Amino acid sequence: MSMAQSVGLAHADETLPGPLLRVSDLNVSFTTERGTVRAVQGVDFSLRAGESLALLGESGSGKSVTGKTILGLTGSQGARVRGEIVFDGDNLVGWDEDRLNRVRGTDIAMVFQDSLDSLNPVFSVGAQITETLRVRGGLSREDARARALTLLRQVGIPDAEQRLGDYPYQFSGGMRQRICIAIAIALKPRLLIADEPTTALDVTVQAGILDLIRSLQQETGMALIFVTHDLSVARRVADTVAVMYSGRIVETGAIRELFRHPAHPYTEALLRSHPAAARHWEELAPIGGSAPDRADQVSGCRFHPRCPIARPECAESEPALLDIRPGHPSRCFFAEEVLNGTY
Amino acid sequence: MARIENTIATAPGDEPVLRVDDLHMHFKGRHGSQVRAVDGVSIEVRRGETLAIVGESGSGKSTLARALMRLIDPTSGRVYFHGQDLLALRKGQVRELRRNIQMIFQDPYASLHPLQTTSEIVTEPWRIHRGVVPRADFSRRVAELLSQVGLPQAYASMPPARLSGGERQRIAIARAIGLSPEVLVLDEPVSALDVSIQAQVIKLLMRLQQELQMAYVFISHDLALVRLIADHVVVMYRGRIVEQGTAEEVYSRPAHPYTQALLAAAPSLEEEDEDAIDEKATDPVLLDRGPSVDISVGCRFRDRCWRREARCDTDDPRLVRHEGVDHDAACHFAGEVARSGILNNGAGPARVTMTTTEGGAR
Repeated sequence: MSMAQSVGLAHADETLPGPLLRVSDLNVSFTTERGTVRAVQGVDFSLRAGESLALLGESGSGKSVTGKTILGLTGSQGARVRGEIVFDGDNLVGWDEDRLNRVRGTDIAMVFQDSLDSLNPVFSVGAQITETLRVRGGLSREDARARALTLLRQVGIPDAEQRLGDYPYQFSGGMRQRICIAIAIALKPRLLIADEPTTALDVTVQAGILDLIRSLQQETGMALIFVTHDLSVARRVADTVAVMYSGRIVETGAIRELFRHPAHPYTEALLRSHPAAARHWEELAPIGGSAPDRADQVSGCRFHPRCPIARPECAESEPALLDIRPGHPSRCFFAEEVLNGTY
Repeated sequence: MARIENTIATAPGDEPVLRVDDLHMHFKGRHGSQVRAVDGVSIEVRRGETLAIVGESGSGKSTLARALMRLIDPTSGRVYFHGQDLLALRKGQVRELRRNIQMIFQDPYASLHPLQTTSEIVTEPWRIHRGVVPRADFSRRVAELLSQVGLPQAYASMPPARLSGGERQRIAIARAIGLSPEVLVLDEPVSALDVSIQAQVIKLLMRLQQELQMAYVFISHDLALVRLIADHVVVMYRGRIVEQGTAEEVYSRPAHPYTQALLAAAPSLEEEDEDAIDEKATDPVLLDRGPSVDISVGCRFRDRCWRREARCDTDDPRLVRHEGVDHDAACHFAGEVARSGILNNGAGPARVTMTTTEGGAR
């Protein structure tokens, strides 16, 4: 990909609105000492340029594994992957490391929760950004420096010119995460995958970084997958959300629609248990129990043991993910009742 | 410290269980500089009451907590437990203090021994503080505690290794309340947990407080969460208290620009109401750049503040009650800031108009 190519909405070709990324029937399993763990089961979603999707779920829901598998990062952990991950027409499943490395960073980039600790402490941040630009972007020393400056300004580093020569320890945690975002977007990826990039940060800093990711995504027209366990975070960065539970998507749709009219009891329970949804602790409605650590140990609907409206049939067979409204599918036998509040 | 009037949750004349008076904790920094992690902080908390200490990394809130536990010895100041000066205690007496002031840490993965069983974890303090629970009663008392924190009895013989974060935090709570402490210091006790699990643990902690009438010192950077549980709120910034009052006062009429910024950044499920948020007050880069200003003169928050004026560079604002404000704030312009009623966010005032309807009420 040429570095001279302009950013902006050039990628969002309105005459060809095909998806940039299409994930179909994705299954990821791991072999552990306690047997096979099916971390992701039958996950489908697609994303066009400029769209943002939050993968929302608790620990063990499969949200992070889904994100990492798109970049082929679970292979080294012994994952077995079935299904299709079609990026820009190519199915990435089964690609070897060499081929994946050509996509990583250039077409699909990733920022992690602990990225801010992964900067090299003995090189200046300027050197770390220009290295990416020179080695992988093919830029000259001068061009790389100029672009590094632009990037640092773009991610909101004050006095960027004076700070190019500073080392990671001279920046706060939030500023280090901004630098990691600068490196991630340096080669103008078309898809950014962010895995809880603000979890370790203070709320003031977190809000700033979420707003930054949101505005970068809108400015550059890249697609965004944002992995989080926090509804309030998802609301701040994404247009659509896929709620995951125990390896499966249980509900998906436009985030506003889902928050106003959830059609799955799990989504509704997540909304009611969020601290921001109450004014006093007595109003909090926690979800009882915890998610199963082995999905296959639960029969029928995975959520039924914790579900406030479960009925006998929920333990017998698993509901399919079906449209309850156009573009708003839910995996619940009683989705209509949940949506209308009539259960 | 200015006394907080209108104390809601306690009977008049009720003495604080724990009182901290002008506490300083200074460390040696790089190149002989001095880091004032806690710089003249006074707080008090009463039986059955929750005092929330709010601030970001580097505010000194966790250092303060450690000084309360005497895990570190402060540079100066006094800590009183029922009027008794804790810093004057001898070693043996510190042990008795620790029985009465217990702490819950943020990370339930690091704070529990992975190879001990739950029963060993919970009973270990009783082997140190002899006489709290007679040995013959150990297993009966463990069973009681497990049921109090909502864990199955079978967990007694299991190590925490396979348990979830929420379950581990319940074990840590069982261990702490097993000593029947009067004060519980909670340092970000739910921020390492999934949001869906936070509500369970918060409800558990608050029910236990009602039942056992413990005083809570609850340390957090999450104002949405603090709003649900706090009677009093203390906002710290770089070692100092910048605002304090009842939860109602601080949330309805924040009088320090830093508190307003914290409120604006607090998690919310509401759709963004762009008009209600003043961009100057919540400029993300301003808030995120981290402190870089010399704190020996002037206001410590000035480099990140939208309301900065020349006098902020030279005059250190004191924590006082400004005219027209019903609680204390350390800002030269607290009255004006409180009236500006900037926020209308999930954690902020329910309505901006509260400023006008209740602003003068005392």
